[in-house]
Amino acid sequence: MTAGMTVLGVWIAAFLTLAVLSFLFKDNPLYKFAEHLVVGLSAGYWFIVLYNTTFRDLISDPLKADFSSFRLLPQAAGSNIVGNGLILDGIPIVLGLMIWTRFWPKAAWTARIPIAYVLGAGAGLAIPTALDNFVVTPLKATLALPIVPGFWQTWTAQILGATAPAPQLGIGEALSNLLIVIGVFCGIVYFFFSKEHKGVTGATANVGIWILMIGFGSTFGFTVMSRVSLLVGRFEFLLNRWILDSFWRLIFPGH
Amino acid sequence: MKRQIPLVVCFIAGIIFLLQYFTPHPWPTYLAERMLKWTIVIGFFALGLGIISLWITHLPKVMKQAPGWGYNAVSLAGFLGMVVTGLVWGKNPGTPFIWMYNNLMNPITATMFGLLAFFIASAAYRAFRVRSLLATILLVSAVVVMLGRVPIGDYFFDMLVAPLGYHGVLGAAANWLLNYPNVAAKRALNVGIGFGQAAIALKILLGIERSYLGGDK
Amino acid sequence: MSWKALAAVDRRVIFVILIAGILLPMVFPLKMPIAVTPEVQSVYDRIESLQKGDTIMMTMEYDPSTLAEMQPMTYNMLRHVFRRGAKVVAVCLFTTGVSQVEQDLKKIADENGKKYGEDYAYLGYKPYPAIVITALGQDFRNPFPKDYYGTPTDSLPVMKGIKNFSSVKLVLSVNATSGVDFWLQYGQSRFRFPLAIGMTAVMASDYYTYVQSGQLVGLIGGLKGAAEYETLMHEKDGYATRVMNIQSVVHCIVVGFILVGNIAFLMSGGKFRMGGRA
Repeated sequence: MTAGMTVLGVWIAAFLTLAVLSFLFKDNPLYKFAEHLVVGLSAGYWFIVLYNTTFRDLISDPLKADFSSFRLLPQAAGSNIVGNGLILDGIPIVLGLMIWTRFWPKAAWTARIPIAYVLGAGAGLAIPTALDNFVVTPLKATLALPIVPGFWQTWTAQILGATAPAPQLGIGEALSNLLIVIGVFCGIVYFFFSKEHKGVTGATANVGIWILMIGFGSTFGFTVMSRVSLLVGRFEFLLNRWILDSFWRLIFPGH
Repeated sequence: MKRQIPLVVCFIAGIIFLLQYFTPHPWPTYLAERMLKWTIVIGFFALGLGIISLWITHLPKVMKQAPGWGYNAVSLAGFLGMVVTGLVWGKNPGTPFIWMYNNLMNPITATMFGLLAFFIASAAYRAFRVRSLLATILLVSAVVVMLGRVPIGDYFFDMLVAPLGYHGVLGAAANWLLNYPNVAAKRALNVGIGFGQAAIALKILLGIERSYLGGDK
Repeated sequence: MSWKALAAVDRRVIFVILIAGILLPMVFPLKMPIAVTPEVQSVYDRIESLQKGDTIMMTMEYDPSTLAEMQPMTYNMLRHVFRRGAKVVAVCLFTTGVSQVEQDLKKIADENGKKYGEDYAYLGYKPYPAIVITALGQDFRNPFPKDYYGTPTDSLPVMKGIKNFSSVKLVLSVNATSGVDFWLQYGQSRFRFPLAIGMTAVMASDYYTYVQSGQLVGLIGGLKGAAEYETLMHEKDGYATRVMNIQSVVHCIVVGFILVGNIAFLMSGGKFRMGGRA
């Protein structure tokens, strides 16, 4: 890419950035132009990426290898062998083409088969992993949290004539860990809707919602951080790469 | 038949992957490896469907010159521009395809996400109201995180607490909030998510959840 | 101006104040120190423990829409990994980020004098991240028989002896998508590899729980996390550190908006209830 194309690129990028920012005042043709342009560009980009990665690696190259050697079944195991035989490489292509039958009403029902396959595969993978990742491991970590402060361990060890374990937990950390244990339990009770939230259940659920509100507040704080970072990034581009680089150097070529 | 075959396919695929999780034997592993690749190939065709849908949506409007058809033409032109440059010159750095990616796609998508900061600031001023105790807890938590996570929070707060011999209090408070009550809150949510995900997956596997089959028989 | 009018001020006034809050510290920069948090320190220490010749997998899943947050952390972590002499096998499981990740990887590799194929490899993209991660757990060559440039994966020297997650010392994910959940659920929980994640600030507060439970080695949240990493790398005048100082002013403005808006609300007759919904 020549220097001229680079400079042209910066100016076009600045124009498009300002076109999108113009939405702040009101919806206008410039913004609509940028919005529709990015839809087409993204779809075109997807096409090229999918063509160069998935289609080439997993469809066309294996089929070419299978046809050239006219292999129906996979060869002996070896990771440098391209193609698993026409049968194993052909089945997913047939399933994939079935998805496109949704445009023909009489054959549209066959599109359900590959969708069912993908959903079934996803469901089979999800069941054990969801339970392990979201339930078992976090709850294990919660229940394993040390909540006994060091001074209490020392005192009970003295009474029993044993040695207090090390390291010793400070009172602050012990209470904070206890807050996690109680907070997780109360939060789970809040989402248990099979019992009315009255009495002890209601009080527990109330504590749960307070804890959840702290979590949502921290999410809001972080969301503000994130969006502001992205906006500052655009202003950095406009100020430094566009205005300073282009205009300033036009006026003061030596700088 | 038209509904039974997909349900059987769903069940068989799901059971193979579910059982393969628990067995280290070579044959289930080999079968799962092949079937995972099939899923990726099917994904290619499914994503291709999106591109076909783009043309089905925009092209008729351009042909009929419907109101606003110019914008539809812009979308299609953008698509063709990327595809032609990508196929003719390739996708490596320095090509027209990457030039279009960096100078056309990049600024528009980046700025669209940046716009959200304005709307969050506007919402913070006009809609974030302390009408109740819960809203106040949320607000206090948000303010502590917003000020504690940036250097200016500690810079000014330290002016108040430095005479007492403390520093970095606001940052420490934000860190404590994130690592203790926030962890409790998110973990409680995750437990619900985990059970929900497992329940939905089981319903799909067993054919109880059939919405993906569509309405007709 | 009445309190009611103040509570309902035109949003364009808010926009102009926000723009001023961004431009002024850009023109008149502030310099404030960045405090390092334990989660970022953990990631740094883990990368610091890598030895020359170790291989890590790095997954970069972001696109131009989140570049401002993700690029600084990618640059810093890659520089750190290369300085430790470790090798990188990179993937991108996010369609619109594939070219951006390629450019970022190449830039830092060239900066550190690293050779493609010997010191690093870019395997590219495949759809359905959950499926790809599960397939990577068996063999990296399964979903990626060729790299992004069409070279057979087996022929790359950096892939010698690397089969799956058990062959790499660390999986480092710089992720702005729901792929974080996929890497945790289908990757770490099943294959039990050490996983460290850099993510946007929007998502970060949801993942502290995984750091506490040990499912994540560490977490770099948003631009603040990237600035902390720059501090650990002793980088003077890093991009993330400069932007954090600008961000400080904007945060004060947003907090000011919240306070002024609520004062105006309460003074114009708004009611506060102890109980009830938010």
